[in-house]
Amino acid sequence: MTNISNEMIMAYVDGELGKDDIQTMENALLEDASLREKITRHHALMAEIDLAFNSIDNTPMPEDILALLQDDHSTAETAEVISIDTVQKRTENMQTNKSWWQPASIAASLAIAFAMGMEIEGPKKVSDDFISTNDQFTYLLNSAASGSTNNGIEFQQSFLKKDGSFCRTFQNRHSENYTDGLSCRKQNGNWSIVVLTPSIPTDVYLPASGDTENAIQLMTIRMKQLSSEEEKIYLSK
Amino acid sequence: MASVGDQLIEILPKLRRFACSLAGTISEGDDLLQNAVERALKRQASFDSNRKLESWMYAITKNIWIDELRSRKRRGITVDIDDQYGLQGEDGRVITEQKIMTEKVLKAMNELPERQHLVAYHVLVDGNSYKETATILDIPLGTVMSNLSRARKTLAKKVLGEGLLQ
Repeated sequence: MTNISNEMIMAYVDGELGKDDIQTMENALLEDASLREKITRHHALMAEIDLAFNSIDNTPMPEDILALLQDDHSTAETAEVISIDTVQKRTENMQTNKSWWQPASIAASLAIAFAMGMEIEGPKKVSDDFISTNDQFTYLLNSAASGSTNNGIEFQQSFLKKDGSFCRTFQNRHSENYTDGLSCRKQNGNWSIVVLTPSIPTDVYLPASGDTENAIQLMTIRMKQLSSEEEKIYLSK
Repeated sequence: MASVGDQLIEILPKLRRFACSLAGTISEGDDLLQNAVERALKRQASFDSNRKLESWMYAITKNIWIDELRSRKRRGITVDIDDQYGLQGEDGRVITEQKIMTEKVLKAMNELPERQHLVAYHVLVDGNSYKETATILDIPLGTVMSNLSRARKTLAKKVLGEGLLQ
């Protein structure tokens, strides 16, 4: 049992820790099953919040609100006429291009960045766009079949979320401390890491219940698992 | 410089999230957002362009919601029938499940004390750092952390059906 405070756990999942503290946490996570369980619950909570607010984004913006903005635009002295469709498209564009930041993604981005040997100075936050600008990782998410291992990342299973998003589970083996992740493809084609948790080493004893249920399982249980044939269709999209 | 209306389009999805988290349901959040946009457009001449539009809109939205709560207290609670039944789509079951989960989270956030709600919104939903949240809400960093910690515990109980381990 390690002596990591609740404040430090919270700061870890929120991406508020500096490099040294992240390392301390990740070392502790390897040794301490109860700490892993705590982190898993934090990630599960954030994943639920994430799903809920994405569901709002996926609900069309009411036309009454768009009409208000359209009217305002049209009455402005220098404005050109703008259609509701244009307003809708602009808000959709904002929705799909929003910084789909999520604390889990931030911690995940940092963890992946470190695991891939990338340097991020200081405790600054990193949006998941960091991952989406990581061409190699994005390329693999879009192309590597489940069961294959490429550049230290094993792709495990593919799923379809209820909103139609394509999601993949993977294990990142770039450092000694493996991590398990769940990533989903956004409408604009960028990928976000929804959950990233330290992998549980195979030689660690885990009780029969509770501890083995992790945030990834909690998330994917509500998704449809894709067959390899179905996966091919989504990989090619 | 872009008009207030034009700038509003850019931040509308963010404002909608905020409105829904205050109201506790998407439909009430949308009503709240509409009122906030209407008020902002009416008062755009008074908007200080040195100020951040987002902060101004958050304040407007929050004030309208506080007025709404006061008014509800006086007239009693009314319930939108659309909120009581799941929407039926191609797969009614799926839509209902997602709607239930979404509204469970929104309701849990809505029931937090005001300061915990705002801190949780800015950190967990809007993605601000603790420091940014402290600046936005004009409170000390320690207050952000203590409120966030309490909010998380409550949210975990209500959303996951279990607390965070201590």
